[in-house]
Amino acid sequence: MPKPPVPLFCGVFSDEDDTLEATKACREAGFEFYDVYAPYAVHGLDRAMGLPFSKVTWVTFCFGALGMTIALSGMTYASWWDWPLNVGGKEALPFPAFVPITFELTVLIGGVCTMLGMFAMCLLFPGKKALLLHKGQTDDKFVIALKKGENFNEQKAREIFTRHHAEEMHHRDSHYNAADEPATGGAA
Amino acid sequence: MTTPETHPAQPATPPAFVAPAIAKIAAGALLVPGLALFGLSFAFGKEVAWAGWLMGSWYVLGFALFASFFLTINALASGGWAAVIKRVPEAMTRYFAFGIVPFGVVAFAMWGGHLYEWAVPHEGGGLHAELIHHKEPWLNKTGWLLRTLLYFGLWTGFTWLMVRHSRAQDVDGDLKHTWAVRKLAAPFGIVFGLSVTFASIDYIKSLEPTWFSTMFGVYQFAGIIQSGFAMLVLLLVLLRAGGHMREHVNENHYHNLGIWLLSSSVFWAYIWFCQFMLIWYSNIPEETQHYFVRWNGPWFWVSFILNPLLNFAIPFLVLLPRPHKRNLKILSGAALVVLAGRFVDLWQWVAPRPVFNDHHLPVPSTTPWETIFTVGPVLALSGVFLFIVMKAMEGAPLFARKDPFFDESVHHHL
Repeated sequence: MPKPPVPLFCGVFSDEDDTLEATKACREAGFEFYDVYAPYAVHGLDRAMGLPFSKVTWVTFCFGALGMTIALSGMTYASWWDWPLNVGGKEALPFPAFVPITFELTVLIGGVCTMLGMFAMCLLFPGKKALLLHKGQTDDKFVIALKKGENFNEQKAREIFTRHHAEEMHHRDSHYNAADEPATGGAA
Repeated sequence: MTTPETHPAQPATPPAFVAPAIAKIAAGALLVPGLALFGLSFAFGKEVAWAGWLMGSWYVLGFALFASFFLTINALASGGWAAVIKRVPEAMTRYFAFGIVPFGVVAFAMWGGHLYEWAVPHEGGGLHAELIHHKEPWLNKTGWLLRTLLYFGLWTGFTWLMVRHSRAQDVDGDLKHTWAVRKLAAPFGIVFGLSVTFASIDYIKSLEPTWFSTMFGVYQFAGIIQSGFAMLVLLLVLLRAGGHMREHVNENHYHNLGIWLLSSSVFWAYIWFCQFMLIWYSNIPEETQHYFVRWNGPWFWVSFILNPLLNFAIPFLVLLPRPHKRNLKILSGAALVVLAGRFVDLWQWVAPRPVFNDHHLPVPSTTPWETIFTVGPVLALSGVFLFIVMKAMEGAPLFARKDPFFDESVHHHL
């Protein structure tokens, strides 16, 4: 079942520093963020929005531990439990020989699952339809999307956005998709 | 009333650092238990005692080597975040001028026929003697002495010039000093890599002159960098405890140092294990003799349990979560563990030497409990090191406030 649309008020910026400062100002003024969009990772933006620290580190840790377990148990099963082989006169359970493979599987599974976990947290998958509040937000524009709650003060939001050189301001809802807009022709 | 023309982030007057007398006395007092333990270690034989002295000399020299490396990579890579703490590594490099003195004592022991097997004339034949004789063009007393003078000359000279430029910038604020340090750092990076490799072979690896490892230089480098970061963290914590650098050095800088400590622990473990595993796998007698005496018998617990525990497992697991790297108590605890681990790493290397029994099997020349007193020289020379660092820090303002990276460093954010 699709979620009901969230009414939003968006400011569009073309400068990283303006966006960061506007985000800080919005947070101080008590606005609630829907999200802030940027074409690239902006240092300190998560902190400015007051986001909690990412949970993705725990995904990395748990899947790294899983990779380590798979490597150690798999090698122990194959070379000691199931069919002990004499390799170069080493003991049947040669722990030093296990270390590189354990290391590699820890890093591989930990790393790949970090990426998959991040995709899952962001609800991203191949072929997903782009959902853009503004056409430029994956190119050269920054978008601050505020939730229009019960006590939303539009005058105040407009004041903050204007003070930080917002280029456009729009009322949108979270189901709005700028990707569906007809091409504007001359827009770069 | 006039306002001084300084950036608000910069302290208006550079806070002068005066080491409290009690700190200097405490550092000097480390000499007492240190030298007492060193004297006590002679009860277990001169070889044990001199090996301990060599270990202490190399252990503490590592802090100065680390500091020179830290300044070098920051200069080369525009590592601006450390500008606010750079007076501390600069002071650490001042140990070089003194550091040659303990190695003079090592030379004295060597001329007395101790420590280095290759320094004693070998009578009779045998493969062992022949192998040592084969290495004589490099491993001879004159060469050792000349190379020692060369190493210390290069280390002292390069770091002295770098520190001089850094301090001159405090006065005139000229950007040319930053470029001068960078121009010095580029050749010094090469000098450092080669000299640390050869010095570790000359001082430590040649204790077992017939043993082979192509990774020994980088193994010692890893230990030096790891213990150096631990020492830098502890010096900053001590400064903070003394009421200095409280405003400008914050948890972001500690976080960065924590990342360095964590990653250098991982690097040490990687190198330590690689050196062992390649030798374990290929199983060639002249390579395995070194590990044979440590794998069998009581040294196993020191070399293969305690050593990776202190140098890798504990710092790795403790420093992995982000809040731990930003917590001074946890970070300095991990640093203390790493410093103890560096001692264990060198101790298990220096103390047991393979000697051959009647069955021509290598056995360790010592046991852990009769060589544990070799911690003495480490303590004594650490005391001297701390004293020298305090004296050096008194010679310059605590903040390099005209460093072009100073502002960036103060606002460092992770």
